[in-house]
Amino acid sequence: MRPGTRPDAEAIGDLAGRASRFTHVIKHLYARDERWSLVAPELAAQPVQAAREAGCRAIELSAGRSSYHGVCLACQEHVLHDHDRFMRPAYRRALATAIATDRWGTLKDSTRVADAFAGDNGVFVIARRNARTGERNVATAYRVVPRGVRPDKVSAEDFVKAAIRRLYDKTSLGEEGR
Amino acid sequence: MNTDHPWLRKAQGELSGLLAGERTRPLPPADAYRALVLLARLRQAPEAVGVATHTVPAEVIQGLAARCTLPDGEDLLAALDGAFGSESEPAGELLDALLDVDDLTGVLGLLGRDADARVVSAQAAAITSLHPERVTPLVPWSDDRLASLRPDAPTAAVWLAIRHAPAELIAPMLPAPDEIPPGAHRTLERLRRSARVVRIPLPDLPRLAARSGGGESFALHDAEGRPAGDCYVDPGTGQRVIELRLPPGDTSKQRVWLHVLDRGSGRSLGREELVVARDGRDLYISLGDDAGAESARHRLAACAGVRLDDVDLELRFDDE
Repeated sequence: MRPGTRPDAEAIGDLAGRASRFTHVIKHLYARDERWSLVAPELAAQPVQAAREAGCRAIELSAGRSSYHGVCLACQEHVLHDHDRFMRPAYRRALATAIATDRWGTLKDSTRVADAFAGDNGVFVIARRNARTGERNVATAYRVVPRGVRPDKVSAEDFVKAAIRRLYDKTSLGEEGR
Repeated sequence: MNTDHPWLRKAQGELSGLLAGERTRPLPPADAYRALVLLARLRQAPEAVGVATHTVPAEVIQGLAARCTLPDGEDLLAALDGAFGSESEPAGELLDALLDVDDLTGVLGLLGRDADARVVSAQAAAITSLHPERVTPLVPWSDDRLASLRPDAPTAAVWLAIRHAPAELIAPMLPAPDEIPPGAHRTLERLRRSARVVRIPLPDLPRLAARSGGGESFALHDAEGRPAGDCYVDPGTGQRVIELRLPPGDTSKQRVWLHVLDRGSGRSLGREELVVARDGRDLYISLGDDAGAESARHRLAACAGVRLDDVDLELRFDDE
């Protein structure tokens, strides 16, 4: 797909690899300020605590230090299950709604093979094309934390606006994104 | 006067919409902060780019500031430091963290807190300068952002730190061989050969199938017996995948070949380059569809005229 061509959400694969999924769950799905419970109401109220009860040690849930390869099997399985049950449906929805509402654009990096998407659920997604295979996968998915508002006052709408604004910032800097 | 600069033109349009809404009813906090951010972007623009001067009364600016909660500079710097450390997609949370700092320093300047803005920006620049290998993909953004900033704007410091990242670290960003002139190939090949060859023997086929066919993974070791990664069948694609974690700063192991080896002499009978995807320090190597003749090892064995049961398999990195 050339830059600027409308993407097909179905043709974009999930986050590739267990390690990447594991890292995203620890770093984003479990991050209190990203408030994923607004997107996935079934997510445990305290997902880190739930992960610890499932066998993860505290150090294994540290966003900057944890690695899929360094944790026990029970922790791997619990975290990857959270990806499949909560995070994947959220970023898949974000891809679909962003394309349907034209809230996406090509990023201006040196490769020009990445697109950004702002979903109607406030999930921000970047999909990148593998230069060799041509396959596209989600490279990252997270919730842009709204600024200017106290954390205890942040609404679901604030997250949606924050994602859209970051999309416009990242795709309009320097030249038209598509 | 309207600007041709897309970033600033978009800021003008978005700000006009927000201020029109403000006249109807006060903006909620996040929108009030965004309005300040956009005003700061326009105020910091150099005259040459031709931005229309927004004549927003000082009391309106103070009113917007009173309605929102400015982010804590220390929090944003900590987030920036964390984003540098995570080795994630650079245009993702790392660029977000840089833009958050950009936004705050702009707003501080707009509110007359220039000294505070310069402190935050200088600290962000210092953090950025420690991670040149992470910021090279962001050079196009920094160049464009600097083109929309007065040189003396407090916000400029962090983007200048990106522009001044050591040039040799841009080498990994060079284009693939088929995208460069033939004359440059020899240099590229020499650089690739200088990388250390790493070899990872693969278990024989029955064990491979038995040990990872059910979705569970098993550990692989390199030729020296050190842990090298995991092998499993991806349930989503049916492809056998080898997943490795590269050492910090390693950018050399981008090309991987599967070799079939004569079991007696260890001599390579043939090789095939494998599909490799990289995410930060994690490398995903596909051995193809595990089930049948479409796998890389079946193709290789057919080319070499041998039975898979009679040969050994090995992965080699940067083996040219």
